[in-house]
This record gives sequence, structure tokens and C-alpha cells, in this order.
Amino acid sequence: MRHKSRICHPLQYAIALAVLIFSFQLIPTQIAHGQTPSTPSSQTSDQRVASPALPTAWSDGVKALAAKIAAAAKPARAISLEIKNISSLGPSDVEGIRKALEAELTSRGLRLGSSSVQVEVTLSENVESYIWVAEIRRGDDRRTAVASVEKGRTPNTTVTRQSVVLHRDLEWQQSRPIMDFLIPDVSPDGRPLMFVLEPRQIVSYHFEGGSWQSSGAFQISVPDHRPRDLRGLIDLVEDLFSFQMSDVRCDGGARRYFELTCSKNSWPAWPVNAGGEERGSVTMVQDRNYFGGDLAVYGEIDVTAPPFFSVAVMNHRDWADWILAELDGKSRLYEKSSKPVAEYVGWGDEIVSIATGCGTDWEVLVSGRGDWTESDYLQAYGTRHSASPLAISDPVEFPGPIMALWPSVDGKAARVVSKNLQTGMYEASKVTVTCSQ
Amino acid sequence: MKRRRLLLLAASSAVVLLTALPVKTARRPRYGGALRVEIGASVSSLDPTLPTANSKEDAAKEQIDALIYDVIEPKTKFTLNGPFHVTAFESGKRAVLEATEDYRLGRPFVDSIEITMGRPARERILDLELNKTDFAEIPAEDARRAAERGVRVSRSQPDELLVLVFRRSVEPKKTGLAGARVREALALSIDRAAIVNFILQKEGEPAGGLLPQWSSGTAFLFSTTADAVHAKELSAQIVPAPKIVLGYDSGDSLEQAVAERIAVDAREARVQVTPQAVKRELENVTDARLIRLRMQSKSPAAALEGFTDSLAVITGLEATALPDRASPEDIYNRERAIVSSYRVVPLVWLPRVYGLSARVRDWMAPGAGEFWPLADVWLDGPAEPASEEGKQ
Repeated sequence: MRHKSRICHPLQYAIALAVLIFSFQLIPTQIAHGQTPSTPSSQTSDQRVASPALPTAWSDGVKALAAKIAAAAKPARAISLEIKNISSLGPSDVEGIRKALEAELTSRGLRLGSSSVQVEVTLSENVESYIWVAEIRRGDDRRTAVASVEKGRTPNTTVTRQSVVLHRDLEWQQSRPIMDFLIPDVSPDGRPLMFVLEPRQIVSYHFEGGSWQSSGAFQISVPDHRPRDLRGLIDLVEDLFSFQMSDVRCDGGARRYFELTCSKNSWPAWPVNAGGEERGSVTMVQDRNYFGGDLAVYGEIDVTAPPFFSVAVMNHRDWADWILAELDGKSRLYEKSSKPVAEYVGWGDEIVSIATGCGTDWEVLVSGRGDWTESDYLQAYGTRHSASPLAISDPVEFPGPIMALWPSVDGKAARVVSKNLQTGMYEASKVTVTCSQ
Repeated sequence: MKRRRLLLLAASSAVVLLTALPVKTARRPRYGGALRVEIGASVSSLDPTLPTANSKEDAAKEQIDALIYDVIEPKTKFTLNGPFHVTAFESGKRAVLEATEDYRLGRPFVDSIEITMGRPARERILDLELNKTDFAEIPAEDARRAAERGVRVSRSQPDELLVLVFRRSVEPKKTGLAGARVREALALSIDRAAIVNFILQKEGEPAGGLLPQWSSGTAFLFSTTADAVHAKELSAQIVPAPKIVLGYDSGDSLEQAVAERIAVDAREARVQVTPQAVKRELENVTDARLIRLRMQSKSPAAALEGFTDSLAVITGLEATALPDRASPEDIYNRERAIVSSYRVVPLVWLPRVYGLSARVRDWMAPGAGEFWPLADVWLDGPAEPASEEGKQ
């Protein structure tokens, strides 16, 4: 035995080394695989849990295709129908479409079964929409009918695991870039209100008739040349709004009308929010996408911070500590001074602290790693074990990079702006953290 | 001895894994660094108004111009003040571009781009392997070999169509071709799958229509399979046996290989095809030609209109405009009409393939009609000096 063990010893080391290195390389890859964006299948399946009917656009597509099939099949009263799927739609979606199409054809007086008129429907898609194609064959005669159907929106998602639940609500999506968005708790007329900060304007929306309707826009005078990775943040303290971007800031009232005063190229301090009405502050480095220099956090702490992309402040009764996501890809924990007390690897550049009261003081939501060509995720970490924080939720996935992550005004949720790589749309989501059972 | 070999194998596998997988760090872009680029073409001038010697120089120049000019309207209006500006240029050899600090869409993340010209594909791939360059285009047919040798490879969606076209001047009386039947026989004889599998090493897709499936959603309606039996039946009806001279670009090894493959397939169908290398100015000596058509837009309608304009000049087909807001059905019907003439025989869809070093981040292969997005990429590595200020 000893002899055998001695022979294997160096080999075991080598294999262990190889496995160890392999594992290090694989960890992010596995995470990346775990970030597979939601497919339209899951989207629509989820939507259908709430409503068994097809989305309106799909029903319209089914009707349009059925009308074309019926016209092409005339004068036949019966057709054979076969449906093939070569798109990203899932089996449950295909089944839903098949049933709807059969019902629509039947309602048009066509009997389905064996027939000399053969109809093959292919569910396809292109860069812009779903493409549903019917090939109608009667002997040598072959006709083709095509219907295009708008692709749907990303669903809201809930992820439960361990000690907290992350829930993502998609609030808004648009093709123009979103810097940040804010839905104040109270609006003057009782109708929900939303502000969307774009690179050159602020747009307000009111919730009416089941959807957000644009109700006003404020054009921002911006500098001629701007940072390539422009960042933005909306903050609200009492009735005073602050619309902050890398190179311009507008302050004032906005609940009823825009009454804002803007200053550009002044590189003012950005607010640091960890709930409540008190704000810390931090300065963005000119023409860059990161902060640095003076950092004021709660408890009257002013320090000189190293360059960083985002900060998570954990405000306690009479003191505060904070984590900086720094430029070297590591996040570091600081307590009262400029000297870090712990270093975390494996986190992305976007971090935010959330006070949930789920047993730990604060949870930190952390984005994934990779770059803007990949899908992303948010995961909650507990801060009780400050030397090595533990993941306390499963990742909630985003079908593209998270571009902005800020705490809600009350510090109990997070606002997330991400870019959906499948649709090209910018998505504004609210991520809430609740205690699991 | 055997143990030692196993040890070496385990250690070398670990090294291979370390080098082959791109390094992962956090995602927000970092500023700084020089991006090293190698291209095959030799660009003699960066002035967009001056003509180029060949299509390869034209394509490379277009890419570099997009980095240094603010393109207001492609091919017509340019201004300087692009994301980069030229600080050194040696005609046909090298160019150095530096980031424009006040570029209207934001200063690029890299400080500079160093472009080395006239590097053959083989040397570009070798330099990628040896980490001597950060970015180079790779011929689609070499992509698999490069990836197997550890090069980080990025592919665009297939947006370049290799197509066989019959020239406008080819009339049945002049050449002895019995018109559409000969063209159809040739089209049916071509084994596109073999071209993709063997010549392109499975890079690309057989093409039956004028738009790829990802753009139109209806490409599956066009057959891409060869039908040698029907091709033979058609050619048997033509006396004397048809002869076609098929031209290809004399500097394009892929076109040459495809032309030779077509000649073999056609022989099976009793159509005699003679491949002939031609230069741009001697194009008119052949009956048919292989050409590459690059999509100028992701939109199926815009891409198809771009193709039909180009094809109308060569084949004499009528370039009928699509209706405004053309539906997928309108686009499909237009494609079907062109392909059914057999004057245009789509062969394969090619992706654009790029080799990248591990430190290049945020690279997104450009879509149809887009340029290299080098102002958006950033280099992984030590942070720029400015970022260290706060630590002092």
C-alpha cells in the first residue's frame, strides 16, 4: 500500500494542480453558462401562467396566417396541418400556437385531417420578429404565406434560495439608452409617476390604462463631447430631485412640472444613499467612468478613496463601513479609514447595499463578471462575515449586462438598468430582496 | 518514464487551459493601452476620395477610415475628428492612431491603435498565437485551424454571400448555352454542403436564397441540396453539351477552391465548367463569375435592395424596388423571383472571423454594414496611471 501510495503521490499532485487550475478557470465560465438569458419560451410560458391566452400580437399573427391559409386552400374544405418549429420558441409556446391556429382555421370552415391540401407551417424568426410561414401544397401547386409577429418582452423573474429571495420586476424598456430611472412612492395626483434619465433628456411618465404614458420631457443642455461610458443617477430627498450624469447635473422640482436648474462640466459631487434622508457624497473623475478622491459616508466620515466604480455603504447606528468595487477588479471593505480590512474577489463592478432586515444588517447585491458582451446576474451577499461574505441568494439573471445599479430612495430595493442583448432594448428593473421562509 | 510523461501531460494541460481561456475580470471598461492590429491589405492612402488598387485594400481602408473620420454619410461626406487621429503613417506598411480626447461620442478606451499592414493570413494567425498582436481578421476557411491552435476567435453572423452570377452579355446564341436550362442544371449540380464542410471547414452555411435565415427568417424555404439526377436530365436536353467559363478573383484562394469544386460537381451533370482566374479589369472574358456580396444592413429589405442593385449591373436583372415597409412576404417573393431566374446562384454564407488576444474586452463582432468597433474595446491589464492617483 505504502509503495503504491508513494508511486501515485507526485502524479496526484500534478493532477490535483491541473484540476485546481482548471476549476479556477471554469468557475466564471460555469457562472456564465448559468446566466443564459431567458428564452422567449420561458418568457411567454411565464406570461401564460398569469394569463392562459396567447399574447395579443401572437393572436393577431395566428389570425393573419389562418386567413392567408384559408384563402390559399380554397375551394377545399379540409386540409392536413403540420407545424414545425425552427425558432427559439419552446414546446409550450408551439403547442399554444398550434391550438390557436387549429381553432382559427376551424372557425373559418376548414376541417383538419387527411386531405389533398397539405399545409406545413414553420415557426421561424428573423432579426426583427417571429416569422410564421405556411406552405400550402395541392398537387404540383405550391403557395407560400408569411405572417410576422412582434417579439415579446422579458418577464419578471423570481429566484429563491438560501436565506433571501431576489425578485426582479421589469418596469420599463426602450431602445434609447437609459442612464437611470426612478418611481417615487408618492405622486401629487395619486397616479404613479416615473422618471427616465436619458443621455440628453429626462422623460416623465404617468401610469394610465395599464401602461406608462409619456407626460413630459426636459431637454438637458450637455457638453459637446462626453465620456464614452456615460453614467447617470436620479436621487430624491423630500421634494428635491437631482438628475446626475458624468458631466451634467440638474436639480429642482419635477413632480408636477420640470423646474430644474442644470450645470454642465462642473463635475459636482454625486450623492451616496444608504436609506433615509441623509446623503454622503463622492466625486467622479473627469472624462472617466469611475469615482475617486474625497468620499463622505455616514457618521461624518471623510476619507480619500482609491478609484472605484461603485460603493455599498452599510450604515449602522453610530458608525458606517463601506465596500468599494475598485478598478483592479477586486472589492474591498473599509471601516472608518482609508485602509481596507478585507478584500473580495469574484465580484463584478456594480455593487449596492440593501437594508432588508432578513437577519443580517445589510445585504450587498453584486453584479456578475465578464464584460458588456455577456449576460449578467445579481446575487445577494450577507455582510455578517465581513472577511468572507457568503452568497445568500441564487443569482437573478439578466439577458445582458447591468449598466447601472443604485439603491432605491428608501434603501430597501435596487434600481437596475441593463441592456438586453437579445432585443437590444435597455431595461429598467426594480430588484427587491425579501426574507425566504 | 510513463509517470513522468503523465506528469508532463497534466502540467501541460494546465498551461494550455490557462492560455486558451480568456482572462475574466470585472466588467466596466478600463482606459489605457495600445491595441495592436494586423491586416492583410496594404493601404496606400487614408484619403477616402482616392481610389484603391483592389477590393481588399478597399475593405481595409474603409475600416481604418471609419476610425479616423466622423462619417456623416458613408462614401460622400467625411470630417476629421473621428474617435482616433493619425499620428504616423507609412504607405502600405503601418499606421498609428491615437485616441481623440474630445471625440463627440466619447474618448475611446484605448490610448492608441498600431496597425501593421500587408500581413498574410498565416502570419496573422501565428502572431495571434504568439500574442504579438491583439486583433486580426482571419479568413473563414482558416477559423477552425486557428481556434484549434488556441487563438481566441470571434465570428459575426454570416453576412457575406458567395454567389455565382451569369453575366449580362451571356446570350444563348453567342455561347451555345440553352439559357435558363443550363443555368438551372449548373445550379442543381452544386453540392453546397461539401463546399461548407470541406473547403470552409464547416465555417458558414449553404445558401439557397439571397438573405440569411437570421435576417429574413425565410431562408429555409430555399433548397440548398444538390439534385444531380435532375441536373443531368436538364443538361441531356441541350445539344451540344454546355460549356461555361467560370471566373474567380485571381487573388482569392477561397473563390478558386470553390470554382474548382463547382467544376467537379458540374461534370457529374455533364456541364463543362472551366474555372479561370481573372483580374478586375478582365472580368468580361468569362460567362459566369464568383462574387462576394456583403450585406450593408441587418434589415432584410435594405440588404436585399443593396444586393439587387449590385446584381442588376452584372446580370442585367431588373432592380425593382421593394414597396415601402415591405412585408416579409414581399421580401421573400422578390428573392424567389431573382433566384428562380438562375442568373444568380447563391452558394454559401460566410461569417467575418476575427482573432483576438486574451486582453481585448467588450469586443462585439460588427453586424452587417457596421465597422470594427475598436473605440468601444478596452484592454485588460494594469489600470491606466490616472487611476492610481486616488491611491496615493
